[in-house]
Amino acid sequence: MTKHPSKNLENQASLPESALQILRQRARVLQLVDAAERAGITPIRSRKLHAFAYLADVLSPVWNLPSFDGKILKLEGGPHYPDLQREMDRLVILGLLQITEMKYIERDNYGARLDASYALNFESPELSSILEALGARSVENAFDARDARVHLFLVDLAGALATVKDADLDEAATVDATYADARIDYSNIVDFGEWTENSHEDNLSLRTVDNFRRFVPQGFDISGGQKLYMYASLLGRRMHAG
Amino acid sequence: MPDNNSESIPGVSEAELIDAVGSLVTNMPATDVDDSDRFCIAVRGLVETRAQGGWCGEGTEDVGVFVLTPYPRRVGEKLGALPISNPVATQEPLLGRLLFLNRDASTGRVMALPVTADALLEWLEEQGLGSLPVVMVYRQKSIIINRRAGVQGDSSSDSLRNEPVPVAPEEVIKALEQSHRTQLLTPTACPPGVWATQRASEYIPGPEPEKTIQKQLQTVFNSWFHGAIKAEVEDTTTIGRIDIRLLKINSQKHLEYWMIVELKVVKSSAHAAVGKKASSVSHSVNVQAVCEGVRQAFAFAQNRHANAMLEIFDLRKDKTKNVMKEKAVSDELGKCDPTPICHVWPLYGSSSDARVAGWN
Repeated sequence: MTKHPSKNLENQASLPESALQILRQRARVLQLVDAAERAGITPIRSRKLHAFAYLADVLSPVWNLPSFDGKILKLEGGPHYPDLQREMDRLVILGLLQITEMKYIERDNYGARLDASYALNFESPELSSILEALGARSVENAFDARDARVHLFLVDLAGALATVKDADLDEAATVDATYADARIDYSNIVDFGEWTENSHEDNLSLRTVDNFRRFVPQGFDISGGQKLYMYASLLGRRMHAG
Repeated sequence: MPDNNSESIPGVSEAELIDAVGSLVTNMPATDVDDSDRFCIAVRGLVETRAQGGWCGEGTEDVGVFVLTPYPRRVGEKLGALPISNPVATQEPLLGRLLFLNRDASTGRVMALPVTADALLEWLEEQGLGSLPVVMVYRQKSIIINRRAGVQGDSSSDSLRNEPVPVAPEEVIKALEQSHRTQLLTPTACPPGVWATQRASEYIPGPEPEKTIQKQLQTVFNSWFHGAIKAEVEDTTTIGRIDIRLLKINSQKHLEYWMIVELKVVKSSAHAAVGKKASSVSHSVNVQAVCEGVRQAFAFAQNRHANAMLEIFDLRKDKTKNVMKEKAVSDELGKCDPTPICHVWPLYGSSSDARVAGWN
């Protein structure tokens, strides 16, 4: 469910913005977990799912898609979205996600963070039709056709990140060009597309991807999928070097 | 060879960018072919990497089975399979095992073969997995059997090579020879689109046979040269459209064009649907098409600073006249320095025609 209004979404008009935002967040979680399932990296630890959500946001402009959230609070432990976490847990209660290996992780000065592994609950009788409506099956049956493209992007990104050693997505996010920008200290907001007036300038990940073209021969167009795999390769190299 | 629009990105080095771009050739999946082809290429890359490393970590088992699974965990949990990730970078055994993997063969689930390899296809069908693409790898026979459309679909085979493939024109020709013999020679092997539906025996080509062959060869080259060469299609230049370009990493670790492959089809008649009369194509038109192919291959190669190949696919019913012996073609070749490497590949409208021509 994209952030933008659509003629297919008249029913949304009757819902308050806060309720719409919750629906969008749930839809985003389901799309992310579905992509992770297809990449074979589920059950996925919550910190990895947050990292995946962040990388999806910061790299969405590579496919000319809007970021779901154009900012992130930079934390030492890696990206974490409290709202997304809340909806992940609600989706467990709703029976659409399954949760295993729950535990609390102590964090210096920040209390504790819930960590668990999440996966789609294929036993849910509603799951298939919901995923279909979210564009995770085909364009034809998607509630909003743009969601199918978002899903394709997420599947490609999850596949690319799955090639990173041990699929260490949480570490991958911390070496991401935008997140690792040394000019921004921990506990500060990284704004790569929310309020910034120059999102291209502030999204170092996008600028990195755009710079790949400098190193390909004349006439070679790098496809959207190839860009994601190249970037994942760069993250893998950074993790290996680090 | 970075261009002049160089831009410094805080914290990102040029070496990182160069390495990332190089991954296009060295370890990137074939993102621009369909998932079953992508999977077959990925599995071949995986098992040949293992074979070329001496099959480290393997025991005495001979067969490994790989299944492209849309939701690997779902299938794996049902069957008691365990997680596996990045098998190309580990010594996790592959032989004697059944692997349910994603389309890049990078992650999924693995279990011991539940039945003998001979009974495996039937077993997959019993589990409701019969429609999924399957790749079976035989170490002793050094062969890979691909079933892209599932257990009931047609199979194709690839050799399992214990040595890395050299980047040389001779290898391109070997790849073309295998593709010709196994995928193009007769209508039963040909991908849909080379011949008009139900009209192969009349030697009536499909609407765009070159396009069909182009896509086929892209997959063939990416499979044959995985890790060493990347095959790309559809490069539009100011002087025309290149059919296939092969890229490699040069000694400075930069990506460069290595070979331009132009494709031409010569034919007896134009395309026509069932029930429609097909107009004939004269020998002189075919000769002109080949001359144009020579000019294009040479010009594109010059434009891209690469080597040139012209591959001609002969869909004519009467193949007695050799187009390459025609003076117009010789003259055209004489204008090129270096001369493009040219081959003619005969395609037959029926298996019996191929046999009569000496193919068996």
